[in-house]
Amino acid sequence: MKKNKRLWNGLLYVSTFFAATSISVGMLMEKFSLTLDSALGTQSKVLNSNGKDGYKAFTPPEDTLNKNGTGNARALIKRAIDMDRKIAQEGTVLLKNEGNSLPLASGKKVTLFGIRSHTPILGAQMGNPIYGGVIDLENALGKENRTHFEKTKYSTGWSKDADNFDFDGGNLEINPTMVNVYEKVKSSRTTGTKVTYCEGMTSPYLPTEATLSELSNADANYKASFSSYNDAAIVVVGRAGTEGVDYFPGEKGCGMMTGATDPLGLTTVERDTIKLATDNFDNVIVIVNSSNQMEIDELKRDPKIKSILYVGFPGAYGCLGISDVITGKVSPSGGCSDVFAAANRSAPAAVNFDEYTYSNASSIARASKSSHYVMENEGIYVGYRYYETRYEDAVLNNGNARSLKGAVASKGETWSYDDEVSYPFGYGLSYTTFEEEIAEQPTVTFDSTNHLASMDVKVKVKNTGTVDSRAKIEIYGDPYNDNTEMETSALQLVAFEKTPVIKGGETKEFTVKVDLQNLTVWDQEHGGWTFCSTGTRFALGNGSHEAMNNMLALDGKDPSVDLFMDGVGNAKAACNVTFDGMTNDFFKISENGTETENQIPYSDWNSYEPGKITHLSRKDWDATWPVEMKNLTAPESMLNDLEGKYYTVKTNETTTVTWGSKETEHKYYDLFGVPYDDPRWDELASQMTLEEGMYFALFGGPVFPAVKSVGFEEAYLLENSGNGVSLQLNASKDTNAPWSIKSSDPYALWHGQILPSAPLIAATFSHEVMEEVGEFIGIESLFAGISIVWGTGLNTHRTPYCGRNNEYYSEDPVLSGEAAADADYGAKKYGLILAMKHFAFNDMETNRKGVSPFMLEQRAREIELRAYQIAVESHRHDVFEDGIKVKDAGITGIMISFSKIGGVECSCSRGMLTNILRKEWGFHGYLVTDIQDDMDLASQELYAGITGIDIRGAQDFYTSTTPANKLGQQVDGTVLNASAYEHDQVMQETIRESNKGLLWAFAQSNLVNRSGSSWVWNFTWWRGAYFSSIGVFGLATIGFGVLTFLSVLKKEEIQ
Amino acid sequence: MKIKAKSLTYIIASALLVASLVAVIISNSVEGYAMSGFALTLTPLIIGIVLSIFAAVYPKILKENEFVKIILGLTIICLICWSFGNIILQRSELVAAQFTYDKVNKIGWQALIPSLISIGLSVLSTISVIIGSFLKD
Repeated sequence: MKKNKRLWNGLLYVSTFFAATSISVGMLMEKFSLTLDSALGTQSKVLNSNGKDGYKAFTPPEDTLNKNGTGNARALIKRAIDMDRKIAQEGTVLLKNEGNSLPLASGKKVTLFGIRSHTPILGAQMGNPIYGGVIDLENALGKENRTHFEKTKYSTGWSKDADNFDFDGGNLEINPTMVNVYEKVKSSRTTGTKVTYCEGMTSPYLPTEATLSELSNADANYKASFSSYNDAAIVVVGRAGTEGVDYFPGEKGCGMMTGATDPLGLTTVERDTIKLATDNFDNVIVIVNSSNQMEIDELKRDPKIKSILYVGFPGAYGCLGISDVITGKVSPSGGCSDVFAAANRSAPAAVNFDEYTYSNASSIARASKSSHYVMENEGIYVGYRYYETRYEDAVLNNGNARSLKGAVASKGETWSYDDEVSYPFGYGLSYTTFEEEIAEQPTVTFDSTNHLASMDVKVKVKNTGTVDSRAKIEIYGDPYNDNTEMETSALQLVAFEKTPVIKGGETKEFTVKVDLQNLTVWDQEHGGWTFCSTGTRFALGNGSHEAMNNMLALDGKDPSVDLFMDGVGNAKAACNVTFDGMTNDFFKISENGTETENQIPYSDWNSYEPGKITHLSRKDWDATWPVEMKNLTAPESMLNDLEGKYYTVKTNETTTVTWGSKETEHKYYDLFGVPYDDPRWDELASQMTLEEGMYFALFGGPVFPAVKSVGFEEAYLLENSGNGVSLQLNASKDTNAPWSIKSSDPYALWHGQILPSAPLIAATFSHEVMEEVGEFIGIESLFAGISIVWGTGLNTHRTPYCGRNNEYYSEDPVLSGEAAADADYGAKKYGLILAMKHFAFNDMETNRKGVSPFMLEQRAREIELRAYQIAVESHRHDVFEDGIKVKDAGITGIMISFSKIGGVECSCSRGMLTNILRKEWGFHGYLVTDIQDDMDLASQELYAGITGIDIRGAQDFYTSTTPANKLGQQVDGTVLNASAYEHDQVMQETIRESNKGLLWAFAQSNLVNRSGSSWVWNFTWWRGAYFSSIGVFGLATIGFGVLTFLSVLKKEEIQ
Repeated sequence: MKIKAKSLTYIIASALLVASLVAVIISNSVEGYAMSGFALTLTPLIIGIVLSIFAAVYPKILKENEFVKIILGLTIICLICWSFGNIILQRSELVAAQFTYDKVNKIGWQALIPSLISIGLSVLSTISVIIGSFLKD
């Protein structure tokens, strides 16, 4: 009896434990039900109707639909393959092609070398990964002409034979021995040296190239195969990219990389692999498979290397485009989106690219996010701006430019461009040659009312070869200003275009519009934009350096006389332009009508500690060369900023903002297509209660809180990322959409992240491609049932070392900004809000949460912020009629950086988020923090102007999720309840503006497709699982409880 | 003094719970990673510790009151489950972050690891109480 009692008692406890645990698991699942749906493809909530408009506002293109209007997943995937292929066709950069080693004719027998030839890096490990089966290089180059997704599956996905696609591949004969050798090497790799399509990196980085002994171990006779496949050797070298990790300049970053002097330089193993190719083959082609510019000067200068191609990360199917270039199906037309320096550490920005901690970090409150800084004392000299400006000064013998200060690769007694730079920004060869000239004096037009000015440049492009090819047109301007005290670079990209295919021998003329705002200079001392109104010089060029030489030729410089010149310029490809009628302060007032002023004084360390930092200046390259700023002590005046004390919420003001108005009964979706300045937007926002306004401004997705007063339902509306929507087709957030792909569809597991990396997109120099990228993501968003994606990336490549460069376009703000504006324009056709990230200054991933980049406001404005400004203002896509803007294009979504700007968190910078972004640039829309960033500064963030904090997993607002329980203790002691801002006028005004902008953005998005429908609870398999578990263990608990009770009673009776 | 096996399981459970309490406090004190409604995690844990110690120190009283003993054990199990369930709920987002996009966030690991230790210790203490229920008084 006693035994039974113990048994029942024990089982009672066991069942209680499992019942309680099941309840906990169930609560956890419900808490994250919508996130779980994304991962599992379930639907824990479904829409109760097709809404008011019934999916008419935005629809996918016909070629992705079946005749009955349902979605055709296979067609979508085919479109994805074509998209990747086109990007890689136009983005692949031919850097070197001696003796026309490329293209290779169909049927040629080739041998592939390098572990990356077998498993190319197609995306980043985190940030922009790719999913599912891919088309790798062997598949694309070979004769198979059919995908084999079952063999190339990565991470998730569908891999059935039935899912495969036919394509027109390279039809080369590929040495199977080496394919097998690399497969064996790959299979033998264990944790730490594993080889994948989306490799991450540790810091310091260890490349995973196969050693020669590994090759021998895999097949001792592998070299015997070479003679049968000796038409060419293709060697692939690469570097990975990911979030949270950086490369570090020089030997510090090399770690175990034997033979390298920089993590982006070649290692002994990579050199051995290349030597293996050059020792055995006459035609050796090297493919650079990296989004961080590798140091390849030795390959450039090696006569045994015949050709070099840059391919970035080509995405899931981009190898097809690379194959097209290699086999001559298309002539390459891409240009370098970043300069290839001989030694990346020769850039002045590399001097301060490390982990820097304040000497007094331990005494800083909020130290976990405020201990680190990076001094960007290279000034405006980022990327090619440095190399070209220093080159011009060296030619002109100005500013000690010839001194060896900062020289790394220069072999003589002076700094030498030719030694320091392998391939300039914008440079790229073709299978033909082009001559580009400015056909006639450009025409300048300006509009003083809207503060806009542009210049039409007629460019004559002659294909002087025999191969049909696209050409890229790059126009550079010299921002020389009347005020000679002002720091200006020698030139900067101001416009670009990609031509259609021009036949061999044919000449065509193209008119390229230059937005003259791209040439403005920030007046660091007085604030505001200035412009070289008396005129300046412009030049065309295959890259920045040719343009520089063309400008010098225009000025009468000749290498036979000016010995520092390293090339003959073409004066016909350059011109001087005057701007009659325009004044220096033409752009001082922004297009939005706001006077531009310094808004982020805290970006400059000298604002806290005058005179401490010297910024690089072309006035004296030697004396101002950046000094590494280690162990700086945060001055007393900076501490309040570092500790997040920016704004004190008022508790005693009388406020005038109207909340909860009943005078109108607008629904946000009824205002689809209504411009932002229409008074109905104010009326709509006034209908919201202060509590609704606060929730809507605080919680920025992926799930947005309901705002019942304006007809906005709580919903999951958002996903990552820049290289496609991060969702499987079966996980659509809107299964009512007619085109929604059902779980039973054979392609239901296809995942939308498949696009190439941003630098490859930028390298196309094609507005058409950039726009098509946006269109494609927009189409995906309709299939995914979401209205916003976090992406694409728009930060500037300050150095080649940032681990996240693969997500950002370029070192040049015009190229980046235009790419983003084009992508946004394409995405909007399908009602998608692209939320560009990370605004701004995510210059390094190390200590990204709160690191303080310090820089001049001039640098901030002209480099990083200019990219965002171009994307927000989007002059290229605005439409004017009779001087009145009838279509206001531009991005309506932005994600804010984790980092600070100077001493202040970007998410809390009212200067950036309200004064610059909204007032100067006229931004309206979605402005969200990075994931869970600065949640302890929520009030400061609201004051700065955010429209939400990205809080993954937050849902069930007003009940389970409230500001008080989600955001916790605020640094200023504020309790975030519904009445927190009842007596703060400015805060209420800011929240109102935030609400209004966000509602406006949603009302223009594809969310209106289902306007008026609401969500209802739905049964899912995982709900069934935890219900059953609770039921079984609950019943067991009751049963064992009864048995225990009876056995105790029996025992007591016996006693 | 000879300690009976059943008492020993409560002693072990108490010790594990104290360690769990210390771990969760450490986790909660990491700057920027305080749990909201921490009292809801802490209070049941502390009550659980007190009850476990009571069960370990006064086995005779419990032996004479079978129902009290059974309900006491059940209460301890429920309190511990509540506590570690709450930690899981609170730390689930941190787990997602640290194992994906935020692997290099050292401070995040400083907060997460003690939480995971606390959960583990709590589960072990529950197992100890369960084992005790199968043993003789």
